[in-house]
Parts: sequence; C-alpha cells; structure tokens
Amino acid sequence: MKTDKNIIWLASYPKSGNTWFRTILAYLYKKDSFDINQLDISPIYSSRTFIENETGVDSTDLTPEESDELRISIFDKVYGEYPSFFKIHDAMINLPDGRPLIPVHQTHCALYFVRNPLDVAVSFANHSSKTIEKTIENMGRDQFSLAASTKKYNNQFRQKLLSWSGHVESWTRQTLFPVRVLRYEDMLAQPEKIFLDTIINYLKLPFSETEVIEAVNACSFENLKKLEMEKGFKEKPPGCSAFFRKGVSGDFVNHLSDSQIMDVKQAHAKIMKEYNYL
Amino acid sequence: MEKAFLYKAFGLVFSSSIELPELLVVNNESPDVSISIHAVPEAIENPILKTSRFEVAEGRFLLTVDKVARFYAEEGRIVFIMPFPGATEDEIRLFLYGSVFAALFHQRGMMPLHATTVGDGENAYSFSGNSGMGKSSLSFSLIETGRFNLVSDDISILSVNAGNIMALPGLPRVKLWADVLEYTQKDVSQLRNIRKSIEKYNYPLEDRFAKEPVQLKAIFFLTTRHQSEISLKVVTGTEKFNLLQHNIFRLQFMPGNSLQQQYFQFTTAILQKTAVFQVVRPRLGFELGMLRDRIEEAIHSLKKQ
Repeated sequence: MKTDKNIIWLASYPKSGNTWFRTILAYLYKKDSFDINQLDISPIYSSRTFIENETGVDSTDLTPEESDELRISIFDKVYGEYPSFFKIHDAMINLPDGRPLIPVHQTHCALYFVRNPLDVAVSFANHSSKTIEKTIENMGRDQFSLAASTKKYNNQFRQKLLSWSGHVESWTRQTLFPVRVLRYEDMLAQPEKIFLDTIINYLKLPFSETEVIEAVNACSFENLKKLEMEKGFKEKPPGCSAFFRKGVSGDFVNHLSDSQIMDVKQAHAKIMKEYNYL
Repeated sequence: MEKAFLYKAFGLVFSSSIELPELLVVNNESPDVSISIHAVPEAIENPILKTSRFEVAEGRFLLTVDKVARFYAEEGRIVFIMPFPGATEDEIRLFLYGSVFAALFHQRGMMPLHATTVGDGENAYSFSGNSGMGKSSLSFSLIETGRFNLVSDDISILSVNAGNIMALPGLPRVKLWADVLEYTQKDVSQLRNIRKSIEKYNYPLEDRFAKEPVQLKAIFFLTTRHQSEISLKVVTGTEKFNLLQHNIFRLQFMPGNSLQQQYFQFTTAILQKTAVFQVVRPRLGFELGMLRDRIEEAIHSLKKQ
C-alpha cells in the first residue's frame, strides 16, 4: 500500500476561488508556458480520463457508484512526487461500504475554499445557467449533485455536493487529514498575504516570495478576465457568458431579493456565522 | 460436444458458447474467433502494459470489469469469459462488444476506429471522435431520414479490397442516451438499457443495417467548442493523418510496437481514398437536425464531385 502522503486536495463548493488558486499554481510551475487553458497541474478528481486509462473501458458504461469506487482504488496507486494537486468539488463523504471518497492514506492535506453563500448563489446561478431561485434551492438540498443526469452524456462523473453547509462541514469537520480553510473574501482583500502564507508557510512549496507575488499579480482577476476574453476558457460551462465574471464580494445585494437573502441566511446560519458571513 | 452459436460481425465469424443476440446469425461458416465461458488467468506473463484492471502482452489481453467478468483474448482467435457472481449476460456482452472486441481487433492488426459508420446504399461515411461527441446520435438522425442505414456503431473496421477502402458491417444496433431518444420521440420503455441504472439504450436496427461491406467515401471527425455555430471544414495533409491516428480505438491495447508501421501504412492507404472533414459543433444549444442537414449537404456535394 502506498503510504507517501503526496496529494494536496483543492476542495470547494463551485465558484469559491478554487480555479483562481489553480491558475496561480499553474503560473508558478509553468511560468514560461502559462495558459489558463492548461491548468493540468491540478486536474479534477471527477475526470473520466483517469478511469478510462486505468480500466480500459468506456466510462459511460459504468454506474456512478462504480465510478466512485474505482476512483479511490485507482488513486490508491498514484505514485506521484509531493505535491500532486487535485481539484475536487465532491463533498468529503463516505461511500456505502464505509470507505472515504478519496484515498486518505495518500492525502497530505486539503485546502478548502469557502465563500459567502449569498455571493456563491449569484455566481453559481450564472455559471450553471440556472435562476438564482433554483440555485438557492439546490444549495439547500442535501442530495444535490453535479453531473447528476443519468439520461445524457456528462464529461465528468457525478459529484455529490450535499447542501452548501453540508459541503463545508464535510471537509472542515473530518479529522482524517489536515485542512486549511481559505476564505475567498480574504483572498480578494489581501491576496499577497494569503497566498504567500498558504504556498510558502503552509504547503512549503519551493518558491520564493518574489515568485509568489509575481504569480499573484499575473493571475489577478482583471488579468484572468482579460485572458478569458482573448482566448476563451475551456473550463467554462456552455451557456454562461464568462467564467471569470466579477470576482468581487458582496455583489449579492445587486441580485438577490430580500426574501432570497433571508432564505440563504436561515438555511446556512450556523456555518455563515462560523466564517463571519453573518 | 458443447453447443456453439455462429455469428458474423466486422468481417469475422464468431463461434460462441453463449448467445450473442445482437450479432447476425450465420450457418456453416468456419469460425475465426471462438468465445466461451472458461477460467481466465489472474495475470499474464511479460505484459508490455499493465494497469490494475487490464494487461496487454504480445498476442494476449486480460481485462477485469469489477462485478461483471474477467475477459481474456489470445492471438485474435480466442476469448475466454469468466463471469463474476451476479453479473447479467447483458453486462457481459456490453464489455465484450466494446473493449474486448477492440483488443481482439488489435491482435489481428485490424486497426479499430472510434467511429460510427452509416451507408447510403452506395457509399459509407464514418463519424469519428471521443465519447460524448455525438457519433451515434448524428448517425441515428441520418438513419431516421430513411436515406441511410447503419454499418457499425462506436467501433468501425475498415479493410482494403482491390484498392478500395471498405467499411465492414458491425453490430445491427446503436447505443443511445435517453435524451437523444426523447429528442427523436422514441418510446424508451420498449428498449433495453445497456445496464441497470444507466439510461443508455440498445436501439436495434436489423432492418436498417448494411449486411455487406460498403465503400468508404469520407470520414467526419466530430468535436465541440465554445462557439455558437456549427462549422465544417475539409482537412488535408498531416492534420488528417493525425486525426485518424488519434481516433484509433483503445490504442493502448495494441500488442507491441510491431503494429505501428502497419497502422501507419494502413492510415496512409485509407487517406488516399477518403475525404476528411472536421466538424465542430457548439457545446450547448444546437439542433441535432441542423447538424444532420449540414452533413447531408457535405455528402451531397461529395457525390457530385
């Protein structure tokens, strides 16, 4: 059994700063060929490619449950150097047989990106071309999943997210491996401080302060937005106009009705208080 | 003697100890491949590629599909299947017709393409691309016009016959997702899904199936992009060579590098006789009917040349 703890999970509910962090990593590791369309330094755990390369079968012939089981056993044998980054939107849950969804014994740590759910609602609605009303409802559903349709082809496996609060708790309350929580709002307010601390002090990645600051500047929201406008962004879902849209905090006041704000606050009060969103 | 069923597909005669109802039945032909329920080794010697679920060696291939079966294929002539408890025959056949046939074809040097092929009575047209690009859906919508029939779904086998490139008939069925069947107003309750809990169905097409090889006229490579219009362009030179090589089905099952040269030459031979198009469709919000019409236009102008 592989015991080296080489995996760093970049975990989040959608639209919470995960991709932003991934662009900074891509810049640090591949500065000379930096391209927002090549974020392969941190592939997503729900990618079909891993499973197909390992199983040799058409992954659409596998059930979501089989895919979940295969993901762990296949990652069990990823013999990578530290660090191997994986992006993940799945909630950190256990499978029906009791095993955790991810290969824990290979996990070094997770970064968990959290963002005010009021802003998540606006951004996620735009991202998935759904109404804010429907998005708020989904964020409150314990059974909510991404790529959940069994009727059509999805380019990723089904990912169980749980509710927004359930997602945050699933990653931050577990004790199997260390988790560093990063608030999106802090990343916006003090990008240099947060990224320096996370990349150099916490993850101990081999970069100097100057290099990290350069990466943070190159991957400012304005720059990412500009790059997306120039070249497009392949991780953008179809139907939404832009992935890097506003990148601000507090924009919900311009989009949510009073009763929608109340709904979100009521549904997620406990976790919102914990992260100073209430 | 154990009872054997005889079938024909992809130009090969299969003798099988299990029923393969999706394949065309033949009589009194000498089999090229024998399929049987048989013990299967845990591992094979000297693999050139080995993952936790499959192993490839010169002339040998081993595949484990959890909870379904372990499959073994040798020299393109023998397939052994060891079902796992609880597996259904539908499930066993699903993986047999997919990855196991692919390995078998590679062992025989047949260069399987990831493509669905249709014919119009005169010529054949292949639609190639990765999973999810719409090969089967597009082909099905062409067949639905009544002007085309099916040659092969998902895996296409080409052969050279007197200098012509021929597409060989595969299985008389297409696998389609429920959303496409709903779009074409088919009643899914009359169909068998490929596996329980997956809403992808076997749609039988025995009455709209090319039973004989058809001369290939063009290959359309399908892809998607963030764009609002469907675009179609003629591909030439090394680009078409690369497209074809990239769409060889399960290339990792190729038993050794000795085939590389053979596949290289075969690709060149195919492309000398075949028009190649790249078709890009929007990722969302396009009409299957519009794509079908564009393809029919291209086929029409090819025929006039």
